[in-house]
Amino acid sequence: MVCMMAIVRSVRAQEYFSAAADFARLYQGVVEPQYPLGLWHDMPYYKGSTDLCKGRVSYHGVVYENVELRFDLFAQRVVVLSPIGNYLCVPEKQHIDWFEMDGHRYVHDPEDSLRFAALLSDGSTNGVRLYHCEWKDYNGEKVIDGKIYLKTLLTNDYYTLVTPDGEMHHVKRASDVAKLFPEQKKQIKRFARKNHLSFMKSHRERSLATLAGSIEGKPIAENKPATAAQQATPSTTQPAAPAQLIDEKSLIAGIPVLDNDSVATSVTSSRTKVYIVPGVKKAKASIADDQELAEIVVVGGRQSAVNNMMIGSEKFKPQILKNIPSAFGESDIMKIALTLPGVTSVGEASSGYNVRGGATDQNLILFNGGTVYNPSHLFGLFTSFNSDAVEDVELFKSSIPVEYGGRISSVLKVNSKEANMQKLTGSASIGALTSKANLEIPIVKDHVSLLLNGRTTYSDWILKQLPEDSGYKNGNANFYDFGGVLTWKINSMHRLKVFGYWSYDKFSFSSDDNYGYKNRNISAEWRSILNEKITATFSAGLDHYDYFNEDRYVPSMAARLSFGIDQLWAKLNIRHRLSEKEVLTYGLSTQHYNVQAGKYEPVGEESCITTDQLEKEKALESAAYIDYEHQFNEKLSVSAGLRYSMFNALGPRNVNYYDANELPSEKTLLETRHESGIIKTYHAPEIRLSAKYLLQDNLSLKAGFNTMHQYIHKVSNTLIMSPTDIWKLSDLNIKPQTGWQAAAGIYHETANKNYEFSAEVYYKHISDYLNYRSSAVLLMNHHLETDVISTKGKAYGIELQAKKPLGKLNGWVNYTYSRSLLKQDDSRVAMPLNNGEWYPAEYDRPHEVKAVLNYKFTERYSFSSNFNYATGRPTTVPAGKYYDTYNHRYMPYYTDRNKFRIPDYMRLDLAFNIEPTHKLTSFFHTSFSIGVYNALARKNAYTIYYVSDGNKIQGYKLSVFGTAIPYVSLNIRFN
Amino acid sequence: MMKLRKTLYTALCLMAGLCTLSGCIEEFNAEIPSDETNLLVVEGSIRANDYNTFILSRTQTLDDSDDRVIENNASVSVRGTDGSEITAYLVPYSDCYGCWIDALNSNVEYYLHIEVDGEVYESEPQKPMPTEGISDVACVQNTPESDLDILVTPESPDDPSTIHYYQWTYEETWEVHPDYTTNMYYDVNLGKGIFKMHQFPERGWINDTGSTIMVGSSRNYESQHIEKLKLYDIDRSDERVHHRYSGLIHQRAISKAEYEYELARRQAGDEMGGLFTPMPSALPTNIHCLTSSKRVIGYIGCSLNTSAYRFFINADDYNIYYPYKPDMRYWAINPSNALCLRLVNDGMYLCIWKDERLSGGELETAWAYEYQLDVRYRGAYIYEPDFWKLEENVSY
Repeated sequence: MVCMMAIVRSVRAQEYFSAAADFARLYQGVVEPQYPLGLWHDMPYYKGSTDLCKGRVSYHGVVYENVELRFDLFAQRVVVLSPIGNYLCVPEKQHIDWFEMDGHRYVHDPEDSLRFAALLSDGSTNGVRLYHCEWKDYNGEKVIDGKIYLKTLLTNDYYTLVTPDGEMHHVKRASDVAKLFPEQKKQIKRFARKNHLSFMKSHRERSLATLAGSIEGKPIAENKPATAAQQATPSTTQPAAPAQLIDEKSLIAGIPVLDNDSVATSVTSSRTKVYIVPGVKKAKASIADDQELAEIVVVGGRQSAVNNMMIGSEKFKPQILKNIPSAFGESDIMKIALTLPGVTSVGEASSGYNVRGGATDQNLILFNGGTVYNPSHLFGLFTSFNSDAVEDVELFKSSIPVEYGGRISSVLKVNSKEANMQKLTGSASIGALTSKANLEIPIVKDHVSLLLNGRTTYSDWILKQLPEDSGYKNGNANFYDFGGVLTWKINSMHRLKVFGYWSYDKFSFSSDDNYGYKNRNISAEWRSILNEKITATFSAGLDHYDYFNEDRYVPSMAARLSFGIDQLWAKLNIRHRLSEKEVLTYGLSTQHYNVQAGKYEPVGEESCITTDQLEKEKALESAAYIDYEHQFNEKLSVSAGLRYSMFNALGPRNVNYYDANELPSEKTLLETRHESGIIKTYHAPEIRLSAKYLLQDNLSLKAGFNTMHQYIHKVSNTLIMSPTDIWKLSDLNIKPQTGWQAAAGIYHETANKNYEFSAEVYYKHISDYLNYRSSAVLLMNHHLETDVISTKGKAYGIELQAKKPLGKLNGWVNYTYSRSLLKQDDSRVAMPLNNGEWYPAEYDRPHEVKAVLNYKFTERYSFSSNFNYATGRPTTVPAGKYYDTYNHRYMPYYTDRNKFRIPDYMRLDLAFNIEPTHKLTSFFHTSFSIGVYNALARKNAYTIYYVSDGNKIQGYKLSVFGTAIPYVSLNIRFN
Repeated sequence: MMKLRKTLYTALCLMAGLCTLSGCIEEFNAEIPSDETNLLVVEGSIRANDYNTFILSRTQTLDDSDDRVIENNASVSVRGTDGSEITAYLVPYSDCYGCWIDALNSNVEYYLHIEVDGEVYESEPQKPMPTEGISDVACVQNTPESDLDILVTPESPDDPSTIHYYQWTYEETWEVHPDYTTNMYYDVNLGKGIFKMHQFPERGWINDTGSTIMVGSSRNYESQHIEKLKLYDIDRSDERVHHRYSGLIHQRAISKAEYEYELARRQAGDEMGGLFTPMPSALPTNIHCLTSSKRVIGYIGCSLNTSAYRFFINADDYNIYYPYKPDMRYWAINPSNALCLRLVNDGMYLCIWKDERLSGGELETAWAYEYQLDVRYRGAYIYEPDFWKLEENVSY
């Protein structure tokens, strides 16, 4: 076996290090709680000093040099100073492999991984390891020199010697050591005497270290080679040590790559290697056979807009939520998306969003790989995802990776957190309307963990505020959701995750009605690193969505309407790094749809309604894909992908055949046949192209082109996604939607990385978008194809964004000019909408300005704001009025769609955030946020509508939030 | 289904209100584009064995405060594909064109032909649709606190395999009683109350037509036979059911297209504004301008016959709520003659004369105005309608 040894010089890595700055993983931890040291007699820090010292930290397998840090012996934690933000944060303990300061290397104490111990002897020469663990304990109140100190501390320590056979013993003096090695007993004692080793407390550490080094034995590497699994475990008692021989493959496996897609190495020259590790694009390392590999110095970091290959993609973490004020203080992961350019919604409290001129159903929402059809609670006031349980969110609005398909506008990928594998932790939050809790349970330490989270509402109190005569005082509106993630890290190469998610909404406004809907997702993901070049991910799951509406106002007509989708899916994705500059991604996916298109059934014995059920729709959607990414040189990178999708509408079911020259209608129905097997097949290639050209190190150009197909459609004539929306599969009479998008952008970062600027332009075209015809009846329609008409769409725009990711003042500002237009030009339509001309879609908002700005006064106190301005969206208003003789009143009538715009939208939200309190001995840590939503108290129009008011047609403006809404939210974290 | 939609609409309006608990819906007055106005509006339907009326008017801009524009220079006729034609003439002193139509041939398609302002309009020809009779109209109060639901059950359709659509309209008649009664008057000469019966009618009747055209489909009923479909409801405290109420339901079979037209019309007028309500769209129509591409508002159906059903609601059979009314009469204790004379001169009538002065008590008098005593002031008529003596419901 060729054991390659190398030293990583990593000049470029240092560049990356500075580029990553505060965005490096090391600095993603919570801000260090402050001690009220004025009341303390003893300092809790190492050597009783609050000063920071320079050191090194290995975090998540990544070594950070020249880190300003200090060691808190009381809390047993390391505190690091972020280089740019200049604040002290606490990296997660379980991910610290080791750290070095004051000439010591500290690792997790072999007896208690929650403590750190100085590694005095690493066993590299004789297999004997020696640790010195020191910590401070609370020692009660004391009066010293007449002053009352609330905190005094007691210093404790012990020395642990681990013999080559792995047994641990506490030692204090030479005799303790000698006992452990009977055959060397005399020799050890003699060595101690000869060297005048003193085991007084002040000299004990050095003496024991010297003595341990004198013991004869075989080095660990020879005795018992470390397995990849051991090396992968951050809390291993055998950290990577300087000058240690490390097998290349083991080294790579030792990096916790399972958190991300891939790790690979490839020899591109005899002296240079490329290591791809999580959160890092790449780090180059010089290799020489005659030199040893010390360590890889790379940086974790943010996705640089300049260097990132993707165009129109955004990734964010829930931590950013605290910087965005929200309605009722309910942190909402989906609302972040709405602060991004190109992402709009028709208004507040609306479920669904529009991306670059696409309809709400053209967005694929994936939660741990499963599709979520209705991602909202309480009519869209909140989204279904508990932000405490979300690891990150990724939105693709232009360059959609080849592994995703089935929607033509965007992909929103939400990933669940993985539970802490070291210790039980959790958090809870109390808001005005909801409460949530999150529990992270290590089942088998370092191997198996379980994350459980739940959320519920107590919004009934709002209904109780209504007057008695409203008729809704006895109503209720409830929801809850539960989630779970079981993670099994089998070893560093294989990991299994099982996800479960259940959300349920139920509301009623009297005892005679009842509404509800639920999402249910269960999935499993197996990820394996097959070798240093190939990572394979296999996932499968079952998604379910259903809703029901019950109406019991009139017992003889009491009925229940229900709808449901079941989706069984499986995906295999393989990422193959062919070389330093080439990556091949390929895979297969398939999903089976089972749509219960609608059921209307009686409720109660008195009901005269008979059951009516639409035929079930079934289909199979499959795809094979391949993507090749090539970095031609330092400047040019290209990614070319092909996805071939196929859709089979399946029987048995009745199929309606219409005159092909006419629009489907009762009159043009030729025959209805009962068919089984494959009824109709659609298949088409989808192209995904993107390219990046680096004009300068901090200036790049990107372009992308992609085509998409969508085989499932939301059939709706409501403004927003509603609980009564129908999802319809393509079939003989309903064609798939198709779309293509071309986009280009320019990206720039300032030299100090403090600012980012970007501009993206795009043009999108949509065909066969399923629009409803005038006066369409969509619910329980056995011939739905007669009520919908295919429509063309086009959207174009420019998105400008400026970001300041770092510093006391940080945030982003963006401006978007965009248009989204529809056109009904089917020659078979006698009177097409708006005379067959292009007309604006309901979500067309030409001008939009968004700004999220935060100012950090101190480590604890910060101020955040969110501003949003948008042109009013189009709406359909009456063309005039006519007199209804029978009803003795005027009635409105409508002609062209969307010819009027509601007033412009503008909202400012403000919040003041207080970070956790700093009572370190507390089990609980709390944080507050005090804010006001819609601080301008502007009554932004949600919709404008006209109703008959007898003698006239009166217009009304509906505002979801009619005034400023103050809020206070409380978050509790415990560990 | 409409109910569900409507409820959702209400719910969402409510939700909007919940969010802020303060004025989220306010009047909106802005200039909106009025591109297509002055469109022809056609109301009416073709019905056999009935006097048919057709009203032609024009649409107006939303801010037009003038009365509606009636088209009274049109040529209107009902035509059949067999060449038959019945001309409708402008009914004197009215806004409509009328004609009597005898029996229609069920194998012939009929349509309305209109010529006005140089344009020619025609409805799509359609065969006259037969209408089943009404089997029953029931009044149901589900709980003692519930409103009274009026439920209709048409007779079984001849063809149970196809969906049937109906349109219902209704007329109402109810008995009203005066607020107060009196059986005496104040004799100004004698200076005291004199017994006298029947000064004012003891009861009257009010007629009204229903304010909504109801439509329904048999799709969700066994054998396409609608049962107990709710037409409308009456609040249990409503004056209409305080004594006796009668409704006359008219039933007409309509096509699916006319059913959808009625649904869309109602939605456009009443059900806008909810977050989940369907967005407004153009009304469907079966009337087309043959000489240009002008839109037309209206839908002309064609019926072979119509049916009707009269039913009664007696207050004693239900848990009717009679809201408390404060005594609005003028009470005078030991009034002087001058006061009584002044009250009479003010148009008041003596209702109560309770004289206990001889036994050491007082003279209590109560006075009321004529409008409080005479039901005709409330729009009632006092001649009992001929059907009021009916004890049972009747199908026509």
